[in-house]
Amino acid sequence: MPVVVLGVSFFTFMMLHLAPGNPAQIIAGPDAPPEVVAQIERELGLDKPIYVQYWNYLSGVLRGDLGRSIRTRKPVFDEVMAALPNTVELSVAAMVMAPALAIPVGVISAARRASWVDAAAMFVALVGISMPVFARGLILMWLLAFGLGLFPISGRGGPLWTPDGLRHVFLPAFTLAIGLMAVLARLTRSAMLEVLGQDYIRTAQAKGLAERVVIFRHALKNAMLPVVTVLGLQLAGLLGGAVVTETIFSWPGVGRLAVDAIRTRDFPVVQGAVLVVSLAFVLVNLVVDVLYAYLDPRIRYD
Amino acid sequence: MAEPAISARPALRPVAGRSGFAEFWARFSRHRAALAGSAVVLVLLAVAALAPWVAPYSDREQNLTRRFEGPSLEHPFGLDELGRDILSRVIYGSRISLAMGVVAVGIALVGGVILGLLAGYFRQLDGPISRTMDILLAFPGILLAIAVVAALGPNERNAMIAVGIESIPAYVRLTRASVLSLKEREFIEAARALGAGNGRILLYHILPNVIAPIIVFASLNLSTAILTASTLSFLGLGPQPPTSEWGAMVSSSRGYLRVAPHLMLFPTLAIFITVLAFNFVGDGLRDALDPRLRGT
Repeated sequence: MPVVVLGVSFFTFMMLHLAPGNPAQIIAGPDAPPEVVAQIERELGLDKPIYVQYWNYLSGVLRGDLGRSIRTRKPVFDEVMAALPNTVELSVAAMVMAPALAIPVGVISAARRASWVDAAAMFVALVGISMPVFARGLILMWLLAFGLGLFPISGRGGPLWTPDGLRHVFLPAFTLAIGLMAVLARLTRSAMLEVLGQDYIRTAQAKGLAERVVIFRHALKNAMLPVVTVLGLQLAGLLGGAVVTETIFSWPGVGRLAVDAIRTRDFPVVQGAVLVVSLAFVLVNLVVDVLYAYLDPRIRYD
Repeated sequence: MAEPAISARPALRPVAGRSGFAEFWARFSRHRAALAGSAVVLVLLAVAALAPWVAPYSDREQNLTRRFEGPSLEHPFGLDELGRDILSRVIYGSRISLAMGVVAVGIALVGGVILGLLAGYFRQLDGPISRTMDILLAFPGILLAIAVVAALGPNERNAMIAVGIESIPAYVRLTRASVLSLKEREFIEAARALGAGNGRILLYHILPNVIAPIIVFASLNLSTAILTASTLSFLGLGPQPPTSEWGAMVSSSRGYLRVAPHLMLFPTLAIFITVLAFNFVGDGLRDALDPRLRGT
């Protein structure tokens, strides 16, 4: 874990130095006069030896100093921290939305196996997996925002608990959630099918319990373990999808911040955004791992 | 030397006396989706190879007086924001989009297998290589690819490298795990006893025995690589205009979604069908070649 965190910081630091040519020149642009390049070099400490630069970068990171944006001159730390809650908000909304829809679909598919409902649901799930995030986003935007006028096209409304905030978050969160929904629906279906073949289900049916009780009380509870596991694993994965979704819907999160910064060659912002999102990713994975060990005593970590 | 090898053959032969390929084909052709997927992939490859002959128009020719024209008999997919024929652009785009996926997987496959062989075989290299892969895996999905392109500069070649680097850890882990168990086996010990050097053992004795599941994984990885590459293009981090590429076409259609949705629809469909087809083929290959991987 500490090695990984240190490695992540080293990779993001090296991003600028892996680039072919003089980093200061890249930041300034190809046509920048030499004195501007020299000024950027001094400002970013690029004229010092590379290990000194990394040391300065690392000690800066530990103090919450990620440098200053070249474009806005504001501290990168402040810019990233202002965007981060929006990314978390979007991911959480998708995280709530996905199982709410996917688990019932998976249960119905398994209970009505090989029916048209099952076939239709699994086809939609396949479409969800094979469609890139940006295509899903634009198609939803076209159908639901332009076509039916149900939702605003882009931007963030008020906080999540206000109607305006909910209306704004729906499309981006749904776009982000579709991939997860597809995975969860397929998984719920196969886990349910496995459980429904067990002897204790036959026992429950034989003693005359209603189908509803058998499915929800006996089968679903036992089918949920793999689903919950994957849900946890995917929580961190949502962060990656959020980068693209934010760009489509102009959602003011860290992903959009990073992509915009690449376009304007604002390297400190790119580095800061990549570093913070990756550290969040590592942290979320760690928390999920620890939670499993707590929830399922069979899992033990050395 | 050759005789024991021949005498050992019958035991390895599949039941019913079929050759390895016949066995594979029998299993693969039972997979209807995989067959359909293969047909689509073949058509796509042919279209990409023959683009200049198949495309009805040039993909660069502009007709500014007829911008945004919808689909018609003359232009089945319509015209885009510069009056270019969208069908022709989708056809030319197949070259770039397929090539980006294939090259990226190639980079990941070659790089990953080499690193995996080294990490699995030489104990002193295992630590550094495996830790580096852990670090690469610590970047969430596309963010690593974005970071690499940000560093190298946005163009087609760097997008392929970025997608390749993003996929490397999986290949390294898969190869390493196989090598770790293989190198303890008797035939490796025998090769060493006969005086084979490390290079020879890795190349002739270990590599042929680890490669099958890796090829299967690579075929499944192709669809993901095409998706990631098109996403980079969509973000403006891949091939630059006026290159016809599906992700880039979708990206430039964004501003006209309300007035001309067909600009977005056709390249999107192209990506979707391609990814779906590669997914089906990959599933079929996995079931036919390596049933142990089922459900992964």
